[in-house]
Amino acid sequence: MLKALLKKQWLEMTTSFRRSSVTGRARSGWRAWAFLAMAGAAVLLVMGSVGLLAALLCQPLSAAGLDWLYFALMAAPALLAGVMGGGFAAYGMLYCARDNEQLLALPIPPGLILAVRMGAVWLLGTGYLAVVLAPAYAVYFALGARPLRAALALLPATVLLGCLVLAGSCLAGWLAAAVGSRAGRCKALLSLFYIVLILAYGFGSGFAVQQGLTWLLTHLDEAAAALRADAGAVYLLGRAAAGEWPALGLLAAAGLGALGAVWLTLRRSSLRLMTTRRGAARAAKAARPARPRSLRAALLCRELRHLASCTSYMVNGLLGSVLLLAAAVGAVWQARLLRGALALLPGAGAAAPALGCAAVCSLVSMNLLTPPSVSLEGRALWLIRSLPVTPWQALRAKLDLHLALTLPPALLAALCVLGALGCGPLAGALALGCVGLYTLLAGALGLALGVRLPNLRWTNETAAVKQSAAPVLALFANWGALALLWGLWWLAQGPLGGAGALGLCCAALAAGCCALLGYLRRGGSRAFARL
Amino acid sequence: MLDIRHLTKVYGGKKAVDDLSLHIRPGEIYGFIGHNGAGKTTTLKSCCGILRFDGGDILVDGVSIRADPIACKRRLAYIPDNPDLYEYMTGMQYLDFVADVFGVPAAERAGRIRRYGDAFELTDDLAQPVSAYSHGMKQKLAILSALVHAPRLLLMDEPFVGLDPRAAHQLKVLMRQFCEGGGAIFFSTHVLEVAEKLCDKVAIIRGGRLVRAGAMDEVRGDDSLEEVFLELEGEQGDAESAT
Repeated sequence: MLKALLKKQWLEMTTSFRRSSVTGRARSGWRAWAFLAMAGAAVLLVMGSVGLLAALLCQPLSAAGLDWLYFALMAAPALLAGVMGGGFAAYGMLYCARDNEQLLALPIPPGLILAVRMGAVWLLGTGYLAVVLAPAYAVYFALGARPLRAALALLPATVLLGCLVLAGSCLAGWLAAAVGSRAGRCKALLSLFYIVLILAYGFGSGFAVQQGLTWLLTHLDEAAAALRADAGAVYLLGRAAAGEWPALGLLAAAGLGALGAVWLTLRRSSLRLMTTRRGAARAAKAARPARPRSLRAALLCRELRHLASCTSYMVNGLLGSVLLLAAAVGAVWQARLLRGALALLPGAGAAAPALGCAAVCSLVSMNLLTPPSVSLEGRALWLIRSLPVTPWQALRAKLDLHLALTLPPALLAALCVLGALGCGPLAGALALGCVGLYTLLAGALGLALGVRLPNLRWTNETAAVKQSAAPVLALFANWGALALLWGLWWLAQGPLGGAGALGLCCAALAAGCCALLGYLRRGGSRAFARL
Repeated sequence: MLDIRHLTKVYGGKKAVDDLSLHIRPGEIYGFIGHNGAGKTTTLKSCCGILRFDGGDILVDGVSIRADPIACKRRLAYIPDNPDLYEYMTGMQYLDFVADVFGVPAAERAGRIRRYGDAFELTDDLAQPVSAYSHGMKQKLAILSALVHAPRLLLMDEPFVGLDPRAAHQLKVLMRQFCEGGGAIFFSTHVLEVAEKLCDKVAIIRGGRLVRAGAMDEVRGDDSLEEVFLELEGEQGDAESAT
C-alpha cells in the first residue's frame, strides 16, 4: 500500500517531465530532454546568482576562522526560501488536492496518506533548500579552509535542514488551511493579508540580512562573538552545516523534534481539514440575475472571480501590485531621502527617469497573472470552448485582467517615483510610457508562455500556479526583457541623451508588444484552440 | 438543423469516429447509443466545436462548424457527461456569465432562470457556490445554462446521469417541449428504455462506425431497442473475431 501511494505521489510530482500536460501523452525523447534542460537552466541561473554571493563571503570568513558564520549566513536564507516555497506546496498537496476524497474512500489509513504527502513536501522543500545550499557548499569546497569536513556534513545537514523546512512548511500550510476553512466569502481579503504577510516576511528578513551583513563586514570578530553568545540557534546552524558532529547531533534532535510535533498536530486535524468546506456555507439571500454585461466585461469578470477564489493565484499574481502601491507611498513619504541618495551617485541626475522607470518595471515583472491563467482553466476548459467566444477573446480577457490590476498601480508608482526624483516633463512622460508598455509586454509575454506551456491536468491549483514551467519562465523572461532594455538605454544615452534613449526604449517596447500581440491573435489563438 | 457529413476523427492513428453521417431535423429528438468508447462523446464534442476533426464536415443550420464555429455555437448548447463547471462562481453568477456571452437581455434572462430553476428545483440554491453543489445539482445547472439562451439545437452527453427521478422526468418533458417548439436534440445515452420512449430517431455506433440509424420504429422493428442493440453488438463482435 505504501509503495503504491509513493509511486502515485512520485508520478504526480514528475508528471510534467514525462507527459505533456495538455494531451496527457508521454513526451517524445527530444521534447522530454528539452523540458528537462529548460528546467535545469532555470535552476542553474538561480544557483549561479547564489554562488556569486557565496564567493564574496566565503574567503574572508573562512580566512578569519569563521567557517560556521559563512554556513550560518547561507543556511538561514536557505531555510527561509525552503519554508516559503514549501508552505505553498504543503497547502496545495496536503489540503487542496482534488484526489483527497478518492484516496480517503480507499482502504488506506488517513495517516499514511498524510505521511506520503509530507514526504513529497519534504522532497520539494529540500529542493528549494538545495538551490541555495548546493552553491554555498560548492564555493566552500573551492575556497574554504576545511572542505573535507564540510563534504562529510553536506548530506546529513541537507536532510536535517530539510526536516526543519518540512516542519515549517507544514505548519504554514496547516495554518493557511485552518484559517481558509473558516474564511468563507472573505477568501480574497485573506489572500491580500497573505500577500502583506509575505512582503513583511521578505522585507523584514531582507532588511535584517542587509543590516547584519553591513555590521559583520565592519565588525567581524565582534559580530561573531555576539552571534555566538546571543543567537545560539544561528551558531548551532552554522556549526552543524560546517560539519561539527556535536552540532549536527543537536540539529538532528531539533529537526526531528520539530517534525514530530508538527506530525502530531497535523494528524489530529488533517482528516477534518481535508473534508471540511466551511467556505461553502449556505447564502441566506436568494440570488437575482445581474445587469447584463458586454462579452468583454463578462469574460474579465470571470477571470476576476477565478483570481479572488484562489489564494495561491492571488498571492503569486498580485505581489507586484501590492509592492507597486507600497513603492508609490514610499516614494512620496521618503522623497527627500530618494533625492539625497540620487545626488550621491555620479551623473545619476540625468539617469533619474531611467532609474525610476527600471525600478518600477522590476516590480511590474513580479506580477505573474497571465502565465498560469491558461493552466487554471483545467478541466473546465471545455466550457469556454463550447461557447461562442473566439480563442482571442478568451486570451484577451486574461490580458485585460493583467492590465486592470497592474497598470494603475504601476503608473501611480511611476508618477510618485519620478516626481520624487524630480524628473522633467518630457523624460517623465517617456518613462511613464515605458512603464505602461513594459506592463503590456510582461502580460503578453506571460500569456504567450502560458498558452505554449500549459498544465491542464493538475490535482491542485497551486501546482498550476507555482510548479508549472510558464510562471517560472515568465519571471526570467520579464527580467531578461528588463535587462535588455537597460542595455539599450545605456548604449543609446550617449549619442541620443537620456530622454532620446528613453524614447528609443519606448519604440523597442512598442515593437515587442506589437509582435507579441500579433502572435497571440494568430498563433497563440490557434494553440489555445488546439488544447 | 444538424448535418454530420462523413465525420472522421483520428486519435494517434486510431479512428475514434469513422465516416459517420447523420442528419437531425428540427423537431426531432435523436438518440445516440453505443458501448463505452464507441465514439459518442467524440462525435458530440466535434458537433459543438470543442474538438477539431480530421475528415468530413458538420453543418448547424446550414453553417459549417469548420468555416464559422462562432455562428454555429450561437445556435447550439452542449451539456457534457461530467459537468466541470466554474467552481469559483455561484450558480447565478455562472448563469449570468453564460447569458452575458450570448447577449441575453435582462428580462428574458430573469424569466428563463426563474422558469427552468423552478422546474428543476434549483432556484433556492443559485446563490450557493458551484463548489458546494452535488453532481446532480451541477448537472441541473448545466441544463439551465444550456436553456438560458434559448438555443435551436441541444447536444447532450448522458444528460440523465446524476439526476433524481423528478428532475429526470422534468428533463424529458422539457426535451419534448423544446422539440415541439422547433428545436432539435441530439443526445447520447446508455439508458435504452429512455431512448426508446423519448426518441423519434436513433443511431447506433460501434467502434466509431455507424451500424444502424433511422426512425425508432424502423430500427427497432418488433423487438425492443435493447434486443436490437445487443444483437448488433453480437454480430459486430462475431465479425471482428472472424477477421
